[in-house]
Amino acid sequence: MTDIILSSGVRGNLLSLQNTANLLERTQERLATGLKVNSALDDPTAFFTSASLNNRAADLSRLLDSISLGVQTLEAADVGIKAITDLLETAQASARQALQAPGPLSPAVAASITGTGAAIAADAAAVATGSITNVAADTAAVGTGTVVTGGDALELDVTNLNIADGTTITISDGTTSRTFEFDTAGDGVGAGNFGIGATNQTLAQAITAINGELSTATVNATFTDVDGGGDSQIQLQASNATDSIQITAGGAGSATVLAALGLDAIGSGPDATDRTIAPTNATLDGITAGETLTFTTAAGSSTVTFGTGAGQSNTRAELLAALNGGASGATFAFNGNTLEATGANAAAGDITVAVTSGASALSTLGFTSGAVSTTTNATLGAITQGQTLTIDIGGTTETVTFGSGANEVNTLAEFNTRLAAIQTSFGGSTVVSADADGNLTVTANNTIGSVTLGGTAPLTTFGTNLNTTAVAPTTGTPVNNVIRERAEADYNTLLTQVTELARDARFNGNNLLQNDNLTIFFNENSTSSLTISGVDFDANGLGLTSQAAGSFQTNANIDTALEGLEAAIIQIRTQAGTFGSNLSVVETRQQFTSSLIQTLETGGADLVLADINEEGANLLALQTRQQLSSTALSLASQADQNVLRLFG
Amino acid sequence: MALKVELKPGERFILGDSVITNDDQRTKLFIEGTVPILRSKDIMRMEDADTPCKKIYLAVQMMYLAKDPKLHHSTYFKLISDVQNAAPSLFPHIDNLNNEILTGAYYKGLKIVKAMISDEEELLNNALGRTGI
Repeated sequence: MTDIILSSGVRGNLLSLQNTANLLERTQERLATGLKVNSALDDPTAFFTSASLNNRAADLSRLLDSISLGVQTLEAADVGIKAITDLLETAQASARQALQAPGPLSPAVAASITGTGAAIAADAAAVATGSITNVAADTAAVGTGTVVTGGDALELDVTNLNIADGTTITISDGTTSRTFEFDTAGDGVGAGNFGIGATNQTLAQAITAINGELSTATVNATFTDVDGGGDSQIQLQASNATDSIQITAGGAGSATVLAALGLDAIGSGPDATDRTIAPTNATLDGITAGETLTFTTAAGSSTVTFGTGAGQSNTRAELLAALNGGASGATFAFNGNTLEATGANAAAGDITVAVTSGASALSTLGFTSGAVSTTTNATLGAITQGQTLTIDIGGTTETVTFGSGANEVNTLAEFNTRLAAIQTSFGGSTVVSADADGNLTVTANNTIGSVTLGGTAPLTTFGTNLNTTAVAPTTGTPVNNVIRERAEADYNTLLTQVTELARDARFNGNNLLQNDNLTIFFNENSTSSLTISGVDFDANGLGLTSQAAGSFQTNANIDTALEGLEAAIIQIRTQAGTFGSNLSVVETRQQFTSSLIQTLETGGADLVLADINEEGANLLALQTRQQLSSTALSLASQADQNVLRLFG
Repeated sequence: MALKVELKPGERFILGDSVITNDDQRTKLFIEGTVPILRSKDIMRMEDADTPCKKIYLAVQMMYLAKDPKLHHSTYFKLISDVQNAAPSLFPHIDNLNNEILTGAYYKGLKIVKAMISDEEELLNNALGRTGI
């Protein structure tokens, strides 16, 4: 191998080339990474210092995160405090509103008296009574005839009497009748008829047989042989005073049979074959025929016309039938021999008596024309006429006068009417009334007047407890004011909300408003820190208790509540100030730390660019720049406001 | 522990936001409390702060004296980053200074800035060609 001998010049070039190659490699590396110091071998001090600076920056970044959490916790507490303050101020407004509303009101109760134990009987119906007691009872109808018998054998000598065979006489009492047939031929009688006048039947026997048959047939009439000898008189008589008896003839000898018996002219009738005997009344006979007597009530009138004609009355029975069939609603009856008209009921009112002409009916029956018989009440009737009941309400007096005159009270109905009128005259909500037993109730129409009863009538009639002592208005149980009750309920609701808010003011598990403490570390080895103490800001912690029901009705209680609220608000505001200053300390540190991190990171990078000469030159340039820079200007202005000004 | 301050006649010092001037007698004062205190030899006036690091001293001084140091933070960081960009070798000082400020030990911070100032002076002299030996 031949040695290549290098000349010094070539060696020098080679060295320079090697240096250049190294330099090139280094420059390339630097260009690629942008760093002058790429590894510990380039510049160990700078490299390791830079590394430690970057590590420190990373540590501080983590620290910054925890400082941020601390800040958030403080802010959560701050928000909670603001909200609680709002709630407490609302509670204050509520309590003040309650204070302005009036306290419980005791309503006044109007004076009132009510009677108990009264026993006023119901009104009795009106009774119009005739004052003359001489209307005799009716006399039963009677008709007397003379039978010409001839001879003294008392034979019913029908041949002599020329009564043909088959002649009938029918006896009727208006309800039932019986027909008797003369069987003079002895050949039997028609169906249903009773045979009489057979040969040898004496008058007495005939009469006995006829009466027996009349009784069996329930015809209310009997025959009597009056004088029993000679020219016999027989009498046809009604069994009672209300029936008219009709005797009619029929058959072959009808035209003459009644005449033969002497009965053709008894009573009244159209002819000799048809006669009716009627009851009579002596008294009523005395009344001029055609007169009428009318009894009128509010319902209508009942009239009777006296006389013997059709539709007229001549007996008690006819009189009662005519009147009771009228429209007055009154009931007519004889009490002994006195005619009485009784109203339908107490409410039917008065009965008025009138006549059309003449006065004989009135004087016979004992009524006075126009006489008014009024409904009555036994109890009120017992009160002496002219006695009074006075009702005084608040100094004004109304009077009820008892009696039978105009505007006087004699019945329960009149009493109630008068009380209703008194109630209307007092007006308003006055009550003046009596119940069905007559218990009197009087209530004043306002709360001012006292109620006093008086008068000359015995007060115990209208209630055994009534007396003349005045009854004054009273006060009822107090009623709670509604506005205060609502304010009280609002206050309690707000306190509940305060407690819930305090419980919600947590962040990251820490609640400064519920006694949790917060510690924030400012450097990596935990030697610099700040501890913030928590407080208890729920309702109990603030010294606020909910109000018992009805407590706000008393002013003293509301005042106590307001004082409590005031103290709580002051406590909260003080604490808010403390938290606020804590927050600003922490935020200061936080800001400083984050800027510091940037500085460290920059420093870490810059370190590897150290160059003494460059630095000196840079500093000179910086010095010149700073003379005009805004930083220097702001520094100057800040220094101006500082105490340095004093020192200058 | 109280701070002992010895004042020559006519010497002044800052206490909080007041300036206290001594009369014409030597005086010894013992001061306790957390209010910032600066003796006159430690005070940098605005007119004297003509280099970047001196300006940093002024900024730290104002942070120390202020009620709300936050106001001065942005100025401070601007100055720091300018110096850092210009002279990265001063970074260890800056690092220590930041630590002291972070933990609230402003007075110690001022001492560090004083060291920075003397280093800076060296660099400036170097650049200006005044090597001094």
